[in-house]
Amino acid sequence: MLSYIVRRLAAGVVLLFVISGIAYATMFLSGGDIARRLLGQMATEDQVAAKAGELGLDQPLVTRYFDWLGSALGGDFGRSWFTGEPVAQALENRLPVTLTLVIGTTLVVAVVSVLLGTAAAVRRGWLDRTVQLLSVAGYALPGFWIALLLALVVAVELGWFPATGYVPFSLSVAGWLSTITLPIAALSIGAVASTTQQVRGAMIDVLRQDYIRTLRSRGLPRRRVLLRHALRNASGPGLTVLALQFIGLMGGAVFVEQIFALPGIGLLAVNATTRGDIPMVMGVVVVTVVLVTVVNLLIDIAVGFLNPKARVR
Amino acid sequence: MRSLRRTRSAIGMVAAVGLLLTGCAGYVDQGGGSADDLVLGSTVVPASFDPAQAGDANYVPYFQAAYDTLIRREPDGDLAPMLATDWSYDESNTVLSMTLRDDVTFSDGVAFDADVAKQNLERFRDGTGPLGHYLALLEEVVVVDPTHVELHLSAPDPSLLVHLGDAAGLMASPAAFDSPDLATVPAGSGPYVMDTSATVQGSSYVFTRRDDYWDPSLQHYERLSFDIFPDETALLNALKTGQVDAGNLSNRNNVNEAERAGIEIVRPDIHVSWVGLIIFDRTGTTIPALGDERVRRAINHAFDGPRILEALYDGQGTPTQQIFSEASEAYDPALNETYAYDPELARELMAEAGYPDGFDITMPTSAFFDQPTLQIIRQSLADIGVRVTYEDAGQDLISRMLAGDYPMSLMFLGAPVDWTLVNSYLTPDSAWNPFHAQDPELSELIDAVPAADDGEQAELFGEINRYLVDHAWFAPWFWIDETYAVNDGTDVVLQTQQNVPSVYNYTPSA
Repeated sequence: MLSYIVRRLAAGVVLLFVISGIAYATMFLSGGDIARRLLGQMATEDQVAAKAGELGLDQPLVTRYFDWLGSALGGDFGRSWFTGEPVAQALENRLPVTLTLVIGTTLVVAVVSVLLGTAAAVRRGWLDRTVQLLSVAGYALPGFWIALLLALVVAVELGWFPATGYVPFSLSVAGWLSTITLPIAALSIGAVASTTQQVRGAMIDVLRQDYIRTLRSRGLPRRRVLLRHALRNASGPGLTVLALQFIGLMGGAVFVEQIFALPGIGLLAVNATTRGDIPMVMGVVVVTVVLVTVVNLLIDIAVGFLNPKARVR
Repeated sequence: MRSLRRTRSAIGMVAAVGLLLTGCAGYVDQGGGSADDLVLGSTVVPASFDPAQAGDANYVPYFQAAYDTLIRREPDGDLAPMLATDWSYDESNTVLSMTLRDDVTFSDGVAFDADVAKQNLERFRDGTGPLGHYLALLEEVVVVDPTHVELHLSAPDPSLLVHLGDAAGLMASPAAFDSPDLATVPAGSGPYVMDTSATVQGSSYVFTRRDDYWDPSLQHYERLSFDIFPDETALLNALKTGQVDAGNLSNRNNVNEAERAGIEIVRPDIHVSWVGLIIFDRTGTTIPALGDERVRRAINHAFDGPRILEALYDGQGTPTQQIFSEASEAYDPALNETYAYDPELARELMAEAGYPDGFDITMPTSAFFDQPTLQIIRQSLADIGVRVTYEDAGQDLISRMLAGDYPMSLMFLGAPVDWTLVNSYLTPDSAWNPFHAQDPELSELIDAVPAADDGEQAELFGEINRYLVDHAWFAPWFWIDETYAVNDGTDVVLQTQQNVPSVYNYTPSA
């Protein structure tokens, strides 16, 4: 297992180099006139040229990439060209917000999907049909529309939660909960819909297996058969979908961050990319690749833990 | 019984979480609506807190919170003392003498004096900031004594005093000049100091009242926050729930929605930006027809500005045919009658100029422009025979326009003070004159401005304005209303020729 983890982490490092190179080249080639964007419409051509030189935009791609890489390996990701904020500080401030949303949503999705999917698979009948209907509806409704609706109705009209903003956990637990509830609800609905279907399908398959019938015939309590044997074996597909959801939510959180004005990394990435803020984009790329690598690894380990057949050596 | 207990526990848990979340007062108060706190909403992130990198328009209030300027611009545009208590020009208008306050310190404890002013002015001029050209004529700053400086200019600059009440006059502590942190943490002598622990860069900027500030009459709040909204709808929601006290709304639907929700919308008497066409290629370099003023006049006659304003902008603006500000003495309402909507006359002018069959022209499109307006342009120009092809200029719209890539374009353009307007749009070297168009008649008027006295300058600007309209250098349609939303509990006075109010202009309602 240890050598597997080391191999996966090594692959992650290679991935990091490859993706950062591609991202840098893409930003370089599509960046356009960044100095003009920085200085605005009233600046003269001389000022624009001076700013381009100051940022190193007059250097060749390879020189600039290796300059960035050298600094990054030394722990210096530079400063945003557009706000002057150190990239590391921006990531430190914003990553917790997005991770709160993503982890919170993943937890909600895991609990609700397992409950609904298992109940639908075990009970079948009207409950199953209702769960399936709700799943289709939840999947079909656009996430941004749900977010807008929650903001307008629950926050603006009813005043139960703040319409915008984020309160850090360290400042106020109640404030933190109040600012993340609606965004997590908005993100969860679509994710619950798809994950519930996966859990339901996997549970139905497992419940039809011979060994489940054998366990029942030997008189094991129904709950024990369900929780210790059926659910454990059905967890693989569910966890895989959850891992994909987690990674998808890292990018999918953008619309929620926009609607609820949350200072998350998704919005930071979108703004930095559209403006051509290369230092900030590269910081986001590094963090995202590291997160994706670690999450995938953790999910593989978790699947192996729950299902010995899936363990890798 | 056991199941009942479980149900009760569950209900208790839900109630507890509900109370925790909603609290007695709804939810955690984030500042808006309090008489001690002012929360301003904005969709613009400050690019830097370094005065040498300062921008104009939406960026101004961020700097005003933490910095003082040499001169302060009153809401009506009058100039008032700030760090400079008095100033005067010599007879040649090339030496500006200023008397400075002797009781001012920066937030880091460094004292303000004439040498600090000199360092700031030279740093602003020599830097790579977007407004560095404000001090392009500044040759030298001479320190006479700790409270007196002289600004020596290479030529008279009628805009200098206004610029010293703006970005060029911002004074920072010299101890912070070389610190990269100056981009994110201001080091000024202003009425507020950034609370770095409460500030989240790019999201929320929090300032607290400075106790030892030299002019408490400018401090109306204990705390001043700028909340950034990536989307104007989110800003509207925050205004509706009272999370922010005021903010700039530009989307017409949002403005209407805010008014329906009972939020006050204030509109300035003097507009800031006009909408219409800039005819760049007045030299006829790429489109020979545009070098003929009869064609340019035909283009002006081709558009029904008031109708476009009504149809696309709910009438929220004022028709105009001139680019000089309504605040300027050069502004002449009679000039707005120069080009009536008359496609027939436009076609006659085209034929007279030798273009009875019109011509082809490529104009830029961008996400900044709305499609209905672009379609109206295409249709109106087609009516007089001008066939428009649109080309997507993407993010580099401004760069490509200023590089002379397009002979004509739709534009939303600001109307700065007169001399800045002349230098930005009209001289052969102006950034917004990419084809370097010039005319001896216009050049003579412009060249006469610096040496003229105030009365003569007003007359000259009036003649320049008349020249632009008569020779159809532009095709403006209307001024667009600036719409500023303000919640109950806050009073605000708008600032002339600035799209958002200065921070000194807010006060808690009585």
